[in-house]
Amino acid sequence: MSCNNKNEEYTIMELLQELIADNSWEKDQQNRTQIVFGLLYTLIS
Amino acid sequence: MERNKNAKMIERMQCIKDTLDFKEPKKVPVKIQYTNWPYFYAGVTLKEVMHDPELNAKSYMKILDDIEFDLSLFGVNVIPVGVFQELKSNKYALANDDTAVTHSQGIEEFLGPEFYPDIIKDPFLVQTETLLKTQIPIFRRPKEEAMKCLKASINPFLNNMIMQQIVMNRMDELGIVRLVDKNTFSAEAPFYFGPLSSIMDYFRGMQGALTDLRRRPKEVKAACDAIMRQSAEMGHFLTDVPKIKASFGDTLVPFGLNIINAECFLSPNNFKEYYLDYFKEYIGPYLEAGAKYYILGEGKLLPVLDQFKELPRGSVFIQIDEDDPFEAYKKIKGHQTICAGISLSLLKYGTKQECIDYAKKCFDTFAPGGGFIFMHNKTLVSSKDINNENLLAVYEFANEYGKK
Repeated sequence: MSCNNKNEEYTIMELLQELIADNSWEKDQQNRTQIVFGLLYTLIS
Repeated sequence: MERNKNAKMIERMQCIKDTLDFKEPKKVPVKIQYTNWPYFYAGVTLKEVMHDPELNAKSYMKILDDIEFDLSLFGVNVIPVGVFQELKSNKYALANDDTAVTHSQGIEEFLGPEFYPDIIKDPFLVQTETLLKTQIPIFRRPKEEAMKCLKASINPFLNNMIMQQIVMNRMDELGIVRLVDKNTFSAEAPFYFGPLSSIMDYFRGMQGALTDLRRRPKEVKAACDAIMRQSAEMGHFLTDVPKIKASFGDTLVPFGLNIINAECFLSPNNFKEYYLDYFKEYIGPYLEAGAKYYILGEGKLLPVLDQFKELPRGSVFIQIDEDDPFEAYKKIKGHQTICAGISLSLLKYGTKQECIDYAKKCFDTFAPGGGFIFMHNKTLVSSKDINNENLLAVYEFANEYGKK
């Protein structure tokens, strides 16, 4: 998989914030926040 | 950490408290530690069950029917490999046996030493942005593509969470004490991961970190300072002892966890500078308030074990991994508790009687006066780690012989 320099235009945190804002996969915002930060913790650990 | 306590759990916690306080408990606490090994024990592969949380949990819990134990680190410790599959990452992947999980630490990309100024400025930013983009290539692809994969990774993440919850609920019902919460690694006291372990595990890798200690110690030290400052800030570490005591509430034993990685490779002087001094500074107030930290010591600690005498008596309990437990006991007895008892190699290659005889020798030596938790020396990971019959026999023995 090649590196695409254009993608420097978004940060991981922006991506995660958008995922939290998207209610299509979970209606409750608090749940979305917990799940997304749990996911981030899994990725970095 | 909320604990769904019942009479059995309270009884077990009292035994743990007594042994950590160097009083002989009614029963020597018995601990077991595993990651994906219970799947092998149940005769299934993780690949077969990972998409069905209930079946997954049922398989993982089979061991609970056959072995009694008082204490577990997390209760359940299964990395959701499906998340990494969806992200097209091999950071964690299923091994060839479809059950054990491999970590790409040996081959994954770390950052060069030129990143030290960035790490010193904002370690978390480097960890979440620079490192994730280095180690998970989908995050270098167009945003829409990355988002699609990220969304797909939610389902396996949730499946794993559901499975974990089922297992933890069952362990609570059985009154098994889970030391810390699996999701946060914290309990009543915060998770502590030494700054040099962070540099080694996350930023520079083993070779890089250990070389840096010799070639650029000032940068390593500045990075350690920054990592700890930020960890304490983000983890809301407290410094006021009365406030910490109040935060423990009415819990019988306020637990904490410290995993040791890089520190096992350090000289005594470096161990003091890069581990113990930070531990005292950031965790000292918790120890003073009565917290009991489990030191998951991976590797050899014998040359530095006596440094734990500088901490309050009975404030830590140390897993003896590669060291001879009898030598470790000589160094630390009466000051801190050791968690030891039998090696995986003996469980693998010894006869049942040899295993029981060795366990008996451990009980006869370490148990008098408290300060002893019985366990095997390394985390159970794979089917080939041990002979299951030996494990069953040794734990049956330990649960009986450890009673007063």
